[in-house]
Amino acid sequence: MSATFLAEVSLAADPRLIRGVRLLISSLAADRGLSMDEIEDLKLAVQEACVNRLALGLAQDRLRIEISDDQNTLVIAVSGDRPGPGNEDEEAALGLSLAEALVDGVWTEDVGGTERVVLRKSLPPPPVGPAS
Amino acid sequence: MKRLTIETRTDGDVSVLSLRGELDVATAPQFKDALLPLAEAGGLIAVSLETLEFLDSRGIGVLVAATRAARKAGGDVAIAIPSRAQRHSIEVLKLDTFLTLRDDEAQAVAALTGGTR
Repeated sequence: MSATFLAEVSLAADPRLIRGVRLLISSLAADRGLSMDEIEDLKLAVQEACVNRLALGLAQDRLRIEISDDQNTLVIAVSGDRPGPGNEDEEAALGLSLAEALVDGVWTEDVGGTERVVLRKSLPPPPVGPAS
Repeated sequence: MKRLTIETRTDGDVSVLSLRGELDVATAPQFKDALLPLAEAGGLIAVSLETLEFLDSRGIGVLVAATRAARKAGGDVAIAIPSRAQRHSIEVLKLDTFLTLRDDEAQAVAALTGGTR
């Protein structure tokens, strides 16, 4: 079964704009039934993924965030506009370590020559309606 | 509207910095400019995050750098951090044993002035 597209955002590579991504994540996550604590953790994990791309120099002009629902798992892919490998940045690695502790899965993958960070967060099961 | 507001005052020998808003990659330089000179001068500094809405790893990095600088110069930093989520981030990075964390500003000031630590 293919993933359900939810949103795609393309931003200038400006750290001040990541705040808007956090607001979008917060809204989508609340709509999908995550708790307040889970939403805070997810917002921070996405923040760290975005900062990672900027810090490594992999998003010099644009930062792209794609959000989908893959079999009741929220999947968020964050990429820039430059191929890897990026700059050395100890704090960027620390930020991804933090993200790993906050969601159910974090990894990097190469798609068409561009490395992206992917986050996975399991969603609560959808409510079961009354039997007809 | 400013993303991060920093209010500075003194409580006896302690400089108290109260942060309101968001401490993240975009505002961390502003916080660093306010905090690091006090730390490098060896001051006793309480940082209150009681009205902070968001904290990322770059903000935590400034807290670590300032604590290190203050201790090297004979001072110290204590942080009032009541938010479970924000404290959890610091614990995940295993920095909770290095940073002095307290639940509120009064406890942070006490940690610097010979109270509980």
